[in-house]
Amino acid sequence: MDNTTVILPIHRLNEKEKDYFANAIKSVSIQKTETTPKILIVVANEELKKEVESFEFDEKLKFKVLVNDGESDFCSQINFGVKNIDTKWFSILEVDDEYSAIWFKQVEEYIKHYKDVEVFLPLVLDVSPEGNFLHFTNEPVWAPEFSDKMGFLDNDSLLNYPNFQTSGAVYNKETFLSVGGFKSGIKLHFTYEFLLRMTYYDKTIMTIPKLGYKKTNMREDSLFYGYYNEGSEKIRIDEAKWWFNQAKKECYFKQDRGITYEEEITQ
Amino acid sequence: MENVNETGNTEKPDLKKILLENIENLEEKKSSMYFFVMDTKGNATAGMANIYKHVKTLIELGYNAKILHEKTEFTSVESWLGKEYSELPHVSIEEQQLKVKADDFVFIPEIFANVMEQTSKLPCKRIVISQAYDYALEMLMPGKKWSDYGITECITTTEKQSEHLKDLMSGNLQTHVIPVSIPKYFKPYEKPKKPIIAINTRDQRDTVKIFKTFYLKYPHLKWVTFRDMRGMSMKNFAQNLSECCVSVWVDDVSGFGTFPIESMKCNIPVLGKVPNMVPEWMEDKNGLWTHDFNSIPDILANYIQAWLEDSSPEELYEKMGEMNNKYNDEQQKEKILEVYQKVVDNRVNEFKSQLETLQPVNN
Repeated sequence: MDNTTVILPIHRLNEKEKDYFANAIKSVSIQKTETTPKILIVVANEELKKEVESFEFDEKLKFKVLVNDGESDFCSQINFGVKNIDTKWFSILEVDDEYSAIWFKQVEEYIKHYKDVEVFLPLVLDVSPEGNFLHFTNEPVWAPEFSDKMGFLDNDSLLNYPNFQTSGAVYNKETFLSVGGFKSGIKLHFTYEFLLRMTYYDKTIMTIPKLGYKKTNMREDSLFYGYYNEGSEKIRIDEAKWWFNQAKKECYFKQDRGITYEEEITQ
Repeated sequence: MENVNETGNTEKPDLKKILLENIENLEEKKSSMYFFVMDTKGNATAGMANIYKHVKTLIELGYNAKILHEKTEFTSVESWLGKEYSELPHVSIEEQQLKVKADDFVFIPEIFANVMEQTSKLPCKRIVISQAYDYALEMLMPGKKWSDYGITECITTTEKQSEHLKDLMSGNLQTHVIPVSIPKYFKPYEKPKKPIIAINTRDQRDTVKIFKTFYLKYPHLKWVTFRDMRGMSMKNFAQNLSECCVSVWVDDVSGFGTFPIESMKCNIPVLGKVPNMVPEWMEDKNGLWTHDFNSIPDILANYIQAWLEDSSPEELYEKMGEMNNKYNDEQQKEKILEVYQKVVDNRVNEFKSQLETLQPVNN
């Protein structure tokens, strides 16, 4: 998989996250491909870079660590990473997630047979922080009559069913850049907006029906846990809905228009 | 039997001449071979497809083979078998011009005991084609056997069915075995397989029971599609089958097991309920076999989980691969030639024996 880079964005590493991080990197090294993908770790500052570099990785891994001096949100980190890779394909690995050992072997096979596909989504195994199975994600495209073409995601079906996961997916770099990449201005549902935009611009997205990625859901100290639970970060339901609806409107624009949430006045 | 000549005088038929003509017709492949089939009204059946295959092959080998059906109106098999089969010669019993001669043959599927009875006065040789042993008794009167209707030869698809029929019909039943062949277009899909389960059950209610149980017990797999393989043309069937990641087969009275072999030729593991008569090709490790119908959804869920993890048992695929060189057109063609020539030779010998009885005995 010399033609693929795994982008792993990090904006902090607490003790628990260090374990997750080691696990995530290990999941790249155990791939059943002849060569492992390259790894690009995008960090928020120099300190973090030193910390990451102090880890002992499998010798066969080819990785580099880059500091993103700009915004350190997830979307900005990924956009920065994509601009700094030299491979045709890339994949996003979140620090608390992991690939299954078969994922990139499957991707190799599917790239060979489906030459028009620009994004390969994995069948995601969603687990609790304790590692218990919760559900699959990205699988509905294989359900009968979910979309126009079995296995493929299209704009209409995405408008009716938004629950798709982009981490773990393998993207064509040029395609990603051509539609404008992720929009850091969109606080919630940015991956949904991105997929809507991709399908709106007729980019071909397919789910590989193999377990490719294990996602830990609602880890207590994760950003999204903060969004959905009591605390300073909590996002109200009407704001979440607003972002959701906004994703459907923003997907027509390739550029990030920097929209902000305006609370509606209700009586 | 007496004939009346042009002058109105009765004369003994020249039996010797007739017998010699019969022998000549048989040896020169002029004799007709009629293969009786039912009108399936456009529905695909493996048994019917196999009979058409026999007829097509016999014609290619120079024999005068024809499809025989009861009514003049007959639903063409073009929609599911294709033009190459629908354009084979067809004749109907209703048609006035149908005349069967002593050197002709009529091949009758095992289920039609009534036809065996109705045709017992015909001068031709009648032979049973039995592909589904379970139907052999379906229309047979209690206490009757095929030989009661003058039928003493049978062509079947497996040695096991052959033994079973000999045992059942007792007496002097002579059997010939021609295994089924699977067309070359049953081949592995050129792309990775899809999360689709091909299902083929003799009773459609079993299909419904299986997929409803599966979705109830394993709701996280409700996106996996079941594809009922009924009602497709053969090539479409093969194409649709080849895409699937596993196939399910339930047919307690199967005589041969065409569907699992078709699946294996497409490199698709088969989860099957072991039929009452265990197929000759069935081995412990060339499929996922069970005797318990109720366990099928569970075995299926386990297999799908392994497939999603790309950890299907390799040995299963290796064993299935052994099927690649079996049950092919070439082998069947050889067997068709061998068996039907034997059938013709038997008939020639019968006429020759009769001929001998006409020869003057020298003291």
